[in-house]
Amino acid sequence: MKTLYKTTLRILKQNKKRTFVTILGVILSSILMFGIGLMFSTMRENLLVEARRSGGYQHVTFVNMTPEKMTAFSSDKIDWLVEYQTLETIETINGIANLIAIEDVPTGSFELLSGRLPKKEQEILISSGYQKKNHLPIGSVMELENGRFYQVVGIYKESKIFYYEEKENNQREFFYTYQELSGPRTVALIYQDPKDAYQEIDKVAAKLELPYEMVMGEKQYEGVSINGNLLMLYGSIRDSSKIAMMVCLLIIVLSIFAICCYVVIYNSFSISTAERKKIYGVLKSEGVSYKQLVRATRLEVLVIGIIAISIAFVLSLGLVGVVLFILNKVVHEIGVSPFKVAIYPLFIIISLFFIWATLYISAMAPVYKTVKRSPIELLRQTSDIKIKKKHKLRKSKTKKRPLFGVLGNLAFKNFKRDQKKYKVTIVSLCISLILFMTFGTIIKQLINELNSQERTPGYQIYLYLPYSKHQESILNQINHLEEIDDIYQKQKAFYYDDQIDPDEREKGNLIGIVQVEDEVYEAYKKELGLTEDKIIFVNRKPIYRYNEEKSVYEFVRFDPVYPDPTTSTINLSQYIYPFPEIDSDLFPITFDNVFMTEKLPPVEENYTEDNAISWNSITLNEEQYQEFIHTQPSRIQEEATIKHLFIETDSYKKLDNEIKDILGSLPAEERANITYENINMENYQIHIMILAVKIVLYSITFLIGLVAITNMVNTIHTNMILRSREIAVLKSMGLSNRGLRKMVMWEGIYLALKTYLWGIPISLIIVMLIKTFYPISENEVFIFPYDYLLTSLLVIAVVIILTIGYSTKKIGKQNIIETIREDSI
Amino acid sequence: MSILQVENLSKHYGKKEQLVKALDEITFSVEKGEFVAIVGASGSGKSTLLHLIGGVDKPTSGKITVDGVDITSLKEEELAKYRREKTSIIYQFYNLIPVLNIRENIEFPVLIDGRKVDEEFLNELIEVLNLQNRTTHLPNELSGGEQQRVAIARALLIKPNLLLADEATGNLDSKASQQILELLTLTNQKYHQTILMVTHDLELARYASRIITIKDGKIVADEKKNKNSNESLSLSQDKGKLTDENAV
Repeated sequence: MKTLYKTTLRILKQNKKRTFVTILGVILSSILMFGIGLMFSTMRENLLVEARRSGGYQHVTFVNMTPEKMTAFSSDKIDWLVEYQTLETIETINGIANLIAIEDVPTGSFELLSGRLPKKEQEILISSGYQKKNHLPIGSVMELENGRFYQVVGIYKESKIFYYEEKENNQREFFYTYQELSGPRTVALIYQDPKDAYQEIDKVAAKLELPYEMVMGEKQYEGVSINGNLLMLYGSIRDSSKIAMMVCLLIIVLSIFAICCYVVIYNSFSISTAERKKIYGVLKSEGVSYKQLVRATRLEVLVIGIIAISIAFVLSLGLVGVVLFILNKVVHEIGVSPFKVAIYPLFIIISLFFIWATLYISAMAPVYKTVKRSPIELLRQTSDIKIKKKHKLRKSKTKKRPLFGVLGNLAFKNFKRDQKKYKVTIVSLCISLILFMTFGTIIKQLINELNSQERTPGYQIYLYLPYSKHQESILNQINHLEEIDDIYQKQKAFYYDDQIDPDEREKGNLIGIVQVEDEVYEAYKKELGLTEDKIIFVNRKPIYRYNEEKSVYEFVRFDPVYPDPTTSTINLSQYIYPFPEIDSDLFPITFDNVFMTEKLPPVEENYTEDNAISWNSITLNEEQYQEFIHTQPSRIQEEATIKHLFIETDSYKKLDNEIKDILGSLPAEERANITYENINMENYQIHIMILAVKIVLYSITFLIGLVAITNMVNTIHTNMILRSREIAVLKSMGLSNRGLRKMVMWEGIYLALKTYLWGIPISLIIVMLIKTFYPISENEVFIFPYDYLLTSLLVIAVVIILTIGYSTKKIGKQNIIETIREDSI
Repeated sequence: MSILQVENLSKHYGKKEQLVKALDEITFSVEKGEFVAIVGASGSGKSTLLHLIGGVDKPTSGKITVDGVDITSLKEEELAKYRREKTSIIYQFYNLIPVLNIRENIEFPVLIDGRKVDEEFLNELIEVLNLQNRTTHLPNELSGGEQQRVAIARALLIKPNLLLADEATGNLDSKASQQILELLTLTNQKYHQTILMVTHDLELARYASRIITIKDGKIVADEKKNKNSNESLSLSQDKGKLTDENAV
């Protein structure tokens, strides 16, 4: 057996080219599957960061735990436990801060940058970000809003108690001080094994006799907050079927790719086996048994596997790293945290299992088939002569000229004969085509969905500024910004339309009372041909009104019955829906001297969004508006002071920073009431998201394509090489190189057609299935990936042509007689 | 009239110390309608000579003129044309096209030349070669002898200037060998076909009208056979194959 192993390894070494191609096939397939495992790992890692960001490091938090209840927490399964009290919430220059009191700080609760933990009540531990912003070194004294003074004794970089990450604009800070805890406190826990978490929580809750309610099949205890997302990512879920579902998803994805990889590796080994049939024949004729040959092949698989898989793992790390590097550069612009390559052992082991299983099955399959044959069959490289009964005494058919010529006919027969060899390639190409189309379809829908979120309302920035003592100052500052090309200001007093079903809102609207700047009003007047100030009633859509007779709300076109619409009074009482708490009888909604039009104010003609366009509104100048507002209840007056700014600019990025700086100087509470939309920035972020989606999905698609192309090139080229002798015989009979190219090109055409015959219908079915099950909203249209289909068909054709061209050129140069005589041993 | 003229033909392999002269400045000519046997021991260069004449190999130096055309100066496309119009080679291992049936195999060289098949001649050949019941069979359904007969039919259909047989009976039993040689003789007599046959079997060489003996790449004997006697052959007592010891 040792000799046989030596021989096997020597054959591998001798046929370097073939061995290299086989290893390459395995490497590419392994990269694909490792890549999936790494992507899942990386995704999990990023989800972990997000879970910690939103829920902290702890597995569970129990609130209002008195000292007596603490005995319930005695368990050797707890890894980390902290008790704390939130003393108060303070407002600081940078935002809100919580002052947390802790008595005993368990090990590992903080990662300190400098200093120490507080030991006295006047000592405080602050975050590195807060320290930098406010220049507070160790030993400095800070005064908090509560009037107390604290000495900074330590600066932390990370905290297990409340998740902290140093960012430029941290909205919330956590300060820690020492205090002897008395009374109810919050208890946060981390278990040694997350999988024990739910069981332990149930035990504690039972001991404490905590009431609970069942929510979606899960117990939710009063005063208990479980960090479910974090636990799930550690593999701990109450409902084990969810874990099974996640693992199933990974397995399904890997299985699909494994099929693709199976055919690649099978093909590589099949070709290698075909080339070595004669060697197997010689070995068998010398007495090597079937089992020995199989064992020798296992060694080959092991050697190739170890080399290829090791290289593949390193390359896949590199590849995923490169993709993530590019992705991070792109998503950094929209503030997404960078993705880091992560290796989660379970996912990598699953991937590895799939790789080895695929490699073993696909490598051994062709060998089992081949070595079962008799030595003489292997030596002759033919099967025994078989007489087919159907040929007996058949008369010669009358001569018909072949449809595609002699060479086309010969090519077709060659193709039929080699169908088994090509079958694997065709299956591989079809799978690749299907995967390519699937990814292409999903990419198109995702991008379409993202694109549909893009807005082009005619202005670039919108600001909703409620009344405050700073309102005028903000307006003043904004008006002086250089990057603004134009700014349109409105005030609106309107009645909330939340009574209208959102699905119905397209049918019509309520009437709003709108004030435009005097400049805009004058231009509007001029356009309408008005010589005096009038109440301009913009009447463009059906109006939502309450029909008392029918006791229903309905959409109707406003059609006042009066002879001269330009001079009449209109009563809108039926058409304005008041706030629920206000009786509509309390305020007048009659307007005199009304001019009705469907034209919009000049500025709004190019605007497309509802909050800009005065669909149905009473448009007033400043004086008219103030006059109207004073007659209204205070609730309406309050609403009426809100300023709506529509800003046009080419420098939306620079303006974004400047406006944010202006708003950043406001108190947090005031800032929270302002709505700021940088539409172009949002659109830009959508483009970034689209780019990110493309980077990830195109990377996977590229790899699938590469695997398929390698497989195709390998099969076609090797098939040609294996037929060198046959081709040399044809050449000896007078087949020219041009004729050879013609014949082989026909074979390529048959291969491509067969691939299309299977691949296209199945791809179309998959695309239709995606269309059926993909959640597309009403406004969106399903986009058929024609370009992906054409690209894949073209690539297949081009690769076939190029491979055939290259192979034919190579064979064309071979010496005829040497090739005919050639022995493969 | 000479249909074939070989002048100072040489074929070398390797260089310097590894130089092997498969053929060493051979010169001879063949008349139309001659049946020539080229004999010699294994490695003497006889097959190499045949392959050079057949245009499936290129000489190192020298000239080969077939029917007035110097084939050594032909380009690749012209050489391919020469192979399908002017010569045919019958190999030891038949070399039929496995995916075509017998009829298609025979017609193949004519069809790739873009010519129309002479159906009458084809049927005649099929009859003469006793292949009537085999025309729709595939090569792997035939015996060795039958396959070789197909190869002969294929070679003859194009009506070549030269029919070259390279150890055509090497893979056959004695009975089949005899049949093949009788067929070749018949072809030569009936169709006035010029045949060059390579063999190391002197018994088979006797079917030819002329025997050229090659040794170490050179012609050592060139004897035309008297129709009525076998005097021209010097045979050792060990009849049969020509070995290094008893070669002339």
